[in-house]
Amino acid sequence: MDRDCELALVARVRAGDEAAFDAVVERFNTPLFNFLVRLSRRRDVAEDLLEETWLRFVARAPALREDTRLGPWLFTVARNLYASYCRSRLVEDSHVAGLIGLWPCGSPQPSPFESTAATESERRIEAALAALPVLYREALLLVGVQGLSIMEACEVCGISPEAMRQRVSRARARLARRLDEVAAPRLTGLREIET
Amino acid sequence: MTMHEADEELLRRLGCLRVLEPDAARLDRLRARCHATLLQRRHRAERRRTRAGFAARVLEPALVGGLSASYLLAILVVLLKLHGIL
Repeated sequence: MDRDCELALVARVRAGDEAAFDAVVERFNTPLFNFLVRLSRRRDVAEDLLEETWLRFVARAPALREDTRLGPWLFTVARNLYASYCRSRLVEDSHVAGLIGLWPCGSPQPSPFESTAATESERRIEAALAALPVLYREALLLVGVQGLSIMEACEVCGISPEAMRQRVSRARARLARRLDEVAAPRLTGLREIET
Repeated sequence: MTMHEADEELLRRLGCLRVLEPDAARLDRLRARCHATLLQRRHRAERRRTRAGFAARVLEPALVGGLSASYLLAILVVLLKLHGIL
C-alpha cells in the first residue's frame, strides 16, 4: 500500500466509511493475526486479541491523526493488548499459584504453527521462535516475519531505533544458536554404516 | 557462509514462514459489528450536522431579525415621545 493510498484510506476511515474499514481489514487482518498467534502461541488468545484490536480501531477512528501510519498503529494496539493480557494472566496465576503443583501437566503443547508446519525445517524454526524470550520474539516477528522497517518496529515497541536494531540482532543470534542446538544432537546420533 | 549471509538467510527463512488464516466466520461477525458502529456514528454526525444546519438557516436569522426589529421599534417609540405624539 503506497503512502497516498494509505492517507486517503485514513481520511475515509475517520469519516466512518465502511468500505475503507474493510480495505484496512483486508490488508492487515492476516498479518496481525499471525503476529499475535506467534506472540501468544495460542490461537484462541490471538483471535480474541485480534477482535479487540479491530474494535479499538473503530472506536478510535474519528480521533486518528491525518498522517497516521496504519501498520505501526495497528501493531502497537495489538502488542499493547497482548501486554495487558499477560499482566492479567500474571494476576490470575498469582491467585492460583498454590494450586499449580496439584495440576497434572504433560509435555508443553506445540504452538499452532508447529502443529501445521509442513516441513521439518519449518517446524524447527517455529519451535525455536516460540522458545525465544518475548521481547526478542516480538522484534523478530515485526522485522523478520511481518517485514516492518526498523523505524516502524521501534515505534510499535516504544524504543529507540538503535535499541531496536540491537534487539533484532540479538534475537537473530539467539535464534540461530537455538537452531544449531536443535540440529546438533541429531547429527551426533548419525553413524556411518560400513558397506 | 559469512555471518552477514547467514543473517540474511535466517531472515529470508523467517519471511517464508507459513501464514495462518484467522477464523472467517468470526471475522464476518466482527465486520458486521464494526459496520454497525460506523453507521451509527455517521448517522449521529449527520443528525448533528442537520441540527447545526437548521440553526444556521432559521434560528440565527430569526434571532437577529427579532432583535433588530425590537431595536427599531424602541427608536420609533423614543422619536414619537420626543414629538409629543405618545
